[in-house]
Amino acid sequence: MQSGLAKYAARRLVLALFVLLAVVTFTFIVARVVPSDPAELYVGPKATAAQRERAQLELGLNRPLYVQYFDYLRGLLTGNWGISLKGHTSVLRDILTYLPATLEIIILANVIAVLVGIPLGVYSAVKKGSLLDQGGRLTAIAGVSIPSFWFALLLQLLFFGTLHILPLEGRLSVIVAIYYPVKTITGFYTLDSLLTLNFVGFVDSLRHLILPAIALATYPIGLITRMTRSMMIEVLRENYIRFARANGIIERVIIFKHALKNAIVPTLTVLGLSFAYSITGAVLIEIIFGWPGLGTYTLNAIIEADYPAILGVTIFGTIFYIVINLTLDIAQSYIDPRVRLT
Amino acid sequence: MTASEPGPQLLDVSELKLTFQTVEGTLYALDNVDLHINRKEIMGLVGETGSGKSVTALSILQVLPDNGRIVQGRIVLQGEDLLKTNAEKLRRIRGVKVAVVFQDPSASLNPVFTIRSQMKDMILSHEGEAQDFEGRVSKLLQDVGFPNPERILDSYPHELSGGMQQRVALAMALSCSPELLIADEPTTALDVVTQAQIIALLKRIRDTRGTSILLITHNLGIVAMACDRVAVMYAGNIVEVGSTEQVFRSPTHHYTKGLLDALPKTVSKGEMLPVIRGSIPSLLDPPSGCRFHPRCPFATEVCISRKPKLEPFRPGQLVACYHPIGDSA
Amino acid sequence: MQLKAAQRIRRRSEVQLIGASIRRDALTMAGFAIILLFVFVAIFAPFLAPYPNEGAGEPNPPNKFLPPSYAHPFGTDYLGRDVLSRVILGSQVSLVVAVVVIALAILIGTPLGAVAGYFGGKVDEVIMRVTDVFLSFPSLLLAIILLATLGPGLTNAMISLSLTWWPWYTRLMRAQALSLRERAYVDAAKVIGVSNLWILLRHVLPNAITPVLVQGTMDMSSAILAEAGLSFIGLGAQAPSPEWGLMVSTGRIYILNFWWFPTFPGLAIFAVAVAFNLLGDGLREILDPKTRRFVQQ
Repeated sequence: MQSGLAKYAARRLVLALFVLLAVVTFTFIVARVVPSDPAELYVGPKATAAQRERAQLELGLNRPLYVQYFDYLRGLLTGNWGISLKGHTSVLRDILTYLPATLEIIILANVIAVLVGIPLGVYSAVKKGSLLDQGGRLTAIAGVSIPSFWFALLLQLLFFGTLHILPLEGRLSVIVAIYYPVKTITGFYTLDSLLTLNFVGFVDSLRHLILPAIALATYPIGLITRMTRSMMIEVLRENYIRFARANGIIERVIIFKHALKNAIVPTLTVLGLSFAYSITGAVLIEIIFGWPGLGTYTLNAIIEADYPAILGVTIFGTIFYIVINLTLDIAQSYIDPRVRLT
Repeated sequence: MTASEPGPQLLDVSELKLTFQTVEGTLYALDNVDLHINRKEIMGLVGETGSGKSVTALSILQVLPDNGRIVQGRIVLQGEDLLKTNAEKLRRIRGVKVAVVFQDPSASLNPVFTIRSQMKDMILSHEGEAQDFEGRVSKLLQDVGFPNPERILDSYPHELSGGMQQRVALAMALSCSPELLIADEPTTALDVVTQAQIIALLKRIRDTRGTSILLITHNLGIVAMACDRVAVMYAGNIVEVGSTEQVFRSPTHHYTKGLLDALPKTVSKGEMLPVIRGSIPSLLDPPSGCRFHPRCPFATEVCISRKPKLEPFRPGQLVACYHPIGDSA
Repeated sequence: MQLKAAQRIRRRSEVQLIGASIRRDALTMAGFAIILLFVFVAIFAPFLAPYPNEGAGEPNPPNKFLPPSYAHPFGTDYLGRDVLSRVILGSQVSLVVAVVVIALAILIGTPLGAVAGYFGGKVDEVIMRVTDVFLSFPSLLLAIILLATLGPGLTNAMISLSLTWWPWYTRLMRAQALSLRERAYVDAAKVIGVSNLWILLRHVLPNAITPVLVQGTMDMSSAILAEAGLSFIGLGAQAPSPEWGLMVSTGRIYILNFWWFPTFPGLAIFAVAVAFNLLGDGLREILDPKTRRFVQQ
């Protein structure tokens, strides 16, 4: 039954590696070939002539292009992703330090999106034409149309400014950070506080996490609701559903087992898109909530024209995206055996 | 062709009227359909595409699309009017008293579940728990002609051929031993050899299980091969009913005669194949009175103004016509 | 000829049918209406804005931070400029962005996709690999790196966004071309000796236009959102442009005290994005041959 699954997974993995190589090559072209003076980009506008010359040497700009390319590849593989202009620290290390904070938001946001979007999409499709369906359609459309940064501001205005029940920004309140600090194990404050039984810290970190996660979840909710709804509508029209219904299979089994399993596969594709969006959406959300994650790091890099950092984040984000898509791909082939034939 | 004597009445459809709401207006799909099926018989329902034979089946099961509405009629199965039964009771009747297989078997089976899983859902939906599940489904699959059920149970539908899929669909439909099996064009999507196999299987089902079969088809050859009795449908009406032999030997409705005449037979060189002139009427704006009148060479005033009812003409033969063939009046 | 006349009649009644279907669905109609309003405002913006100079960016310091009132329905911003005028003038930027980005993406992507799908083979392989590379980037990240290399600004932002968008249209068009390639009338045309280019233009393209239209409509919404996002982080439109995303960004720190200043521009983005999505959604349901024929009871 799991025949072909391993072979399919292997094929996709190889393909993903090729794509990764192509992506890295593309960024190389953008970073070294496109600009008229790559060194200028790397040392930024405030650099001295001496710094510029040193960059020229380091980047090997006087050497042939293919040598530069291989050095670049080698650097990526060995963890040398360049030195950030601002802190003179390794870009890769910076990224890994700031990563957990961003992942916390992304993961929670997508979990919320799935928990809200799929049931809403299913009920919307089953009760097509009803008020619930209109609500579902509106949610889907509103979700993909809302500027997340604007919605984040509104959330702050409502929950902090008016209702005073949630904090404005940051990951922990100052008081908690001083008296109940969260020990860093994974970097996820919620998880770490649970693991160390720091319940005050847990509640506080959750309270700080919730608004950014909701703001980031709007677009994924829209995508997932829309896709689930339209796929369920299509699947429910299929002949095998009619066959099951005509032969008396329980309606609940038809909807949540027979139909949903068929509808879920394209929804997984959309989940991939939703992660892609989350990666870039996090940049916007983190700015608003003063969240010390990759988004803030990227914004600061943009403001400071810290090219190595921007490049590093781009490559990292893309690798993350490729990995997510690969995982979803394989999951799809597990659910729908016909996919393994492609 | 000898058939065992058909038993007493099993299904009684009377005065069934069905409409569909479409963008272009109301479609009058079924117009006073009367159909009676006896126990232990294979009843054919034959007609052209669009005659209403498939929607008749869907109406019996009440799995019509959202824009379909049964305006009038009674569908009585073992004393119970299905049109007046609540949803849950209806669901329990489906699969247990009446089951169905559709035309395209690859579309009847859910592509992401194994055969075993789908058959389990079928049985569990009706019986709560499945005692001796493996044994039972193995025997079902053997009954439909699979000597090696294990392999089939573990397969996904796309791994099986069209004929195998259709037999699996039949096994699923028969899993709860229904008294009536509706087979909607069960052989149309299959090659000729497989067709014969499926027909033989249907007959075996009738003989060994005593199940009645409503065999819907547009193929008169299939009717001749398989059916004990046959009902001819035209533009949403049953126009003639009788034993297969009677209807083929001495058709009473002009449409039936036209159909039979149009079958390619050995004709002499240079002779044209007879056709029924005209074409199927639009069901959005059907002809008045007898819906066949625009194409019938024998139509008279009364045919245009009043709809003929399906009435007995000869012993065992019913026809809906004011001037049936063989009528001296 | 008689055939042409019949075709013309059929096409006119199809358009009428589509028009009727649009009118029937309240949501789609609402979307269509909002877009008409948006285009109207964008075209006549300088005449509609009560304080057009402020709208364009001229500061008016004495009027700083005025709350919404009759004179200033949307209040004033941190430089005393009338927010309503700013929003109205900003519609011009948004309209240009939506149209340019998507038009460019379609212009680049559709021919590539048609060629890939129709000719197949090596050409198809190459084009699809390139498409895959572009699609492997989370779109905004690609835009960010391009803008970091080329320098910020509205024009560069539009170009960068087009470069992230074209692959979707290539994929879309390729799928259409693939399925149409097999059709009998294409074979017939080839047999007669019609050139491949002619077949592409007259037979493949017109039939494949529907999904491109639907996708394009909805993508206009995403383009506006994406550009607003880029301006928000400072890579898109620059001050003193009345671009909505930029306005939300500069107004961000004032949200708690002078909420009107980032709220109304954001609301405008939301409204226009919703409108495009409603219209696109509705168009898809209407133009999809599978859902076309039935009416709910």
